[in-house]
Amino acid sequence: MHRNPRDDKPLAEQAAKWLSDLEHGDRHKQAEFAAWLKESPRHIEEVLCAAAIGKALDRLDPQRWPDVSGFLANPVGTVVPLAEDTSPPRAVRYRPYRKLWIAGITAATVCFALALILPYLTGWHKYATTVGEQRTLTLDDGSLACLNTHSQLTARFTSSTREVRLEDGEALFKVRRDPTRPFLVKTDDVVIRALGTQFNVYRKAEATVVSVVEGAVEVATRQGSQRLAAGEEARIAPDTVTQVRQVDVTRMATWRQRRLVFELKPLAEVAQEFNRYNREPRIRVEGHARSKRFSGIFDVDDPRSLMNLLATYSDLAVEEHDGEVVIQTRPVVAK
Amino acid sequence: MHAKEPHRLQNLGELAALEYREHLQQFLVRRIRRAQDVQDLSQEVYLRLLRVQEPGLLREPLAYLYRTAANVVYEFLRSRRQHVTFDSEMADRAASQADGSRPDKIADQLSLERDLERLLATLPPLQQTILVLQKRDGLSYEEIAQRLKISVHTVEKYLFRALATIRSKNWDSQ
Repeated sequence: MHRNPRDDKPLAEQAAKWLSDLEHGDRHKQAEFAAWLKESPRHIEEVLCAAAIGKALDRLDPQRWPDVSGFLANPVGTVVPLAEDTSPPRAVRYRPYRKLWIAGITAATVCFALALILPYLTGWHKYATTVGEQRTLTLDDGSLACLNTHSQLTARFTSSTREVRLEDGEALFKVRRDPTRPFLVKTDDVVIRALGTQFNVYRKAEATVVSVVEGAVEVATRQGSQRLAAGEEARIAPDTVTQVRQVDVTRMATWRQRRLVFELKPLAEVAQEFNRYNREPRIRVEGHARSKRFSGIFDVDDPRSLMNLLATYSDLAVEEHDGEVVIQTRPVVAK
Repeated sequence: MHAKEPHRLQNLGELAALEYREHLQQFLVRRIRRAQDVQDLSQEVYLRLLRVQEPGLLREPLAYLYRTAANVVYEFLRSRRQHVTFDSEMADRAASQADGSRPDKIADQLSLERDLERLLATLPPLQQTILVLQKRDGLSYEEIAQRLKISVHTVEKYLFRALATIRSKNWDSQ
């Protein structure tokens, strides 16, 4: 009943074993197999390839098979020792680190972040989180603001208005109803007016993303204003038309559970998200690898889980040096 | 006891999945040489599996996987639009192949067989023999074990290793 641990075997072998177990009617393994499939797209890839190879072999012209009559005539004593096995383990290969620093870009990013710290204005209260930190604030009116990692907001409440500026990063707002004082959240590109609600605002370098979890908001941009209902997410960038899409509300603001959810996101963006939450290791993606798309659910505090996934791709090289991880495509090596 | 696939159908779910598997098999056989395509397919399938809470996945995960993968392939072959996951070059090629003209399929099958023949020849003798007995001759693991005077466990171990080796080899050097 108990299976040998599969983890130390190459994924292709694990996949072949799963198929064999299931095809031999090991029915009670079904749920376990389903869970294994959901662990990683790599598991799916290997099962699909193993199935394709298995079927291709089933159909192979008998004349194409190697002649094994000699071996069959005298199998005893001819068992090949493991050392002669030609199968190379598809394991992680850490390549010698190549010194290709993009120090300039890093420095520019830091400067940009510093420039965002605006002069302190009277009447404004400032709240900030550092890398990896999350905080829930109770604002003066009783509304809640959950501040994500490396974020900053300023708030000013008067008798006629409730005004919040998201200076950097991301925040989820749960707004207390008060018809006499509108609740406004501002970034450079947009003003969001809460209509009794819960919504998330993520200020990225290139755009502001507003996601409505509950109720509705009104967003005003340079192009005009529009209303967003629960389950809608708007991406607002200067000089482009606001794009609205439907998003599963349970997938909004997953950062509060310290989860990162990616759906076919370019690796550069995935790395950037991890870097928001962790000072170390910093993840840098180079070249063609930047646009390779990935899906998955990760723990924000565990960038290793991403490394482990990427290391299973034979066309990616993952190198680590001094707290920095560099990911790039590996040239195809003919065997 | 081990029997060949068509006799192993356990229920209607698997029967339905087989229908889809033909598309999927063709796709994989063509693309297995292009790692990126198979990766893209797997990513998309993974997303769909994550979204479902269906009991079908838990009851018949393999059938469910094939069906989902086949759907992705099918949708992709049907749609002429450029899909986010697949590049336009590939979409064009797939669209031109979607009719599945006979000569094309035969050529595919032949080049696949040549690849397999070449790869099988590189395996150690024991692994070759186990594969031949299992796939060509249709013997069960127990029968192979008796024949070679080794344990069933060893049969499985070398079989899985042989299959993994075939998978990991470079399929391009024709």
